[in-house]
Amino acid sequence: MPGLYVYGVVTAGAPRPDRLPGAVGDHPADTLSWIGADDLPVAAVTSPAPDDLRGKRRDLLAHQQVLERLAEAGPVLPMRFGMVAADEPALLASLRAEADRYGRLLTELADRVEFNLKATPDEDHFVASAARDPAVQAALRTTRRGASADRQLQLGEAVANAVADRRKRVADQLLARLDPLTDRSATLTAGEQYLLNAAFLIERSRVGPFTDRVAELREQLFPAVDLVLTGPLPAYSFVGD
Amino acid sequence: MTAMTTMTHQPSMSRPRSGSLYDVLELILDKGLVIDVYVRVSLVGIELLTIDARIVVASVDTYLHFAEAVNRLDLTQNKDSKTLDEFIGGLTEQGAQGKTRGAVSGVTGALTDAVQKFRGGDDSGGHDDSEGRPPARRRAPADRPRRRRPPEDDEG
Repeated sequence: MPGLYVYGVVTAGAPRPDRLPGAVGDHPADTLSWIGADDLPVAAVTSPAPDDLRGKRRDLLAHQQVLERLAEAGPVLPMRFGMVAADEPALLASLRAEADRYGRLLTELADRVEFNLKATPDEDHFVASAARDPAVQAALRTTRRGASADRQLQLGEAVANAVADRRKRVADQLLARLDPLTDRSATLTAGEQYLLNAAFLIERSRVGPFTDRVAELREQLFPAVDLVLTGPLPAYSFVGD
Repeated sequence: MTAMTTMTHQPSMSRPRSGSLYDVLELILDKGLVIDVYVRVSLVGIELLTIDARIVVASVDTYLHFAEAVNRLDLTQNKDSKTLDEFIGGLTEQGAQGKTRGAVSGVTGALTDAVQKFRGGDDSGGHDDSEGRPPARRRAPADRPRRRRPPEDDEG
């Protein structure tokens, strides 16, 4: 018995979604089971853990799709992918130990969904804007005649700094314009690819205004910045500490 | 709540639904509830999926890359890229749009001139010649702030 794969934690007795997608490890939907106890205000949604769970694409999709469906039915605390409890007693023990915290979190997340926003800068536009930066213009003038490697480096550094500054200012602006419509936001790892990668927790009643605002911002920024909004999602980014 | 959708808006193409997993992968793998006593399956091999496609290059290479990028700027794109400048300036300007913007670019222009003079005195040899007739592709960025100054901006 390889254990129980855990998708997430829901409120005990909450309505279950009608049509459930398949479980991880290619198990059919009817292998999904709710594990709880009479004295517990929360329950875990599980399925038998496959022997060789390694995060294949279809397993990741199953995890995501089960959670999406659960989130449609009510608040859910999504697990990170790959959580396996040894057996039912171990699972119940862990639920019991954290029941209060889970209950609080579920209350906080009621009627709220997560959206993810990724802002991808177009390098040409950022370099063109950086070229108007005074420091870059000064560097451009000094490299005008003799393009020694040293001067090229100084120019490049000035451009890199100006681009970084612009990326940060766009990110700050986006957050400033969106935060009034959200409960909470969290910035995620953006790396080089994105100037902003952010999670927003939003009341369902404000999803419309929020997505409208994102659309407006997109109109303003495209193609210098491309905004991709994904959601509604289970609140992955708002269940941690 | 409806099933998860990836929303994109005009004028971009909408993202195929199969892209959805990519967009939530980091959430599934790095966020979400963790219970210490649970076994977490080994994800060796899967982390690769979340690594940024662009490798972060050493700063020297980054600088050379940007130097090259700014040197080959297609100056006809100038108009488009100003939307970025406007957006960045937008937060402080929302109350007094045109006026503030004019003032800001005026300051930028003045700064540029000052820097130009300073640089001009600082540089040794041949500077006047190059001021008179610099290579076209490099002249335009330096000239741009002057063109951006009011009143052209505000006349409409």
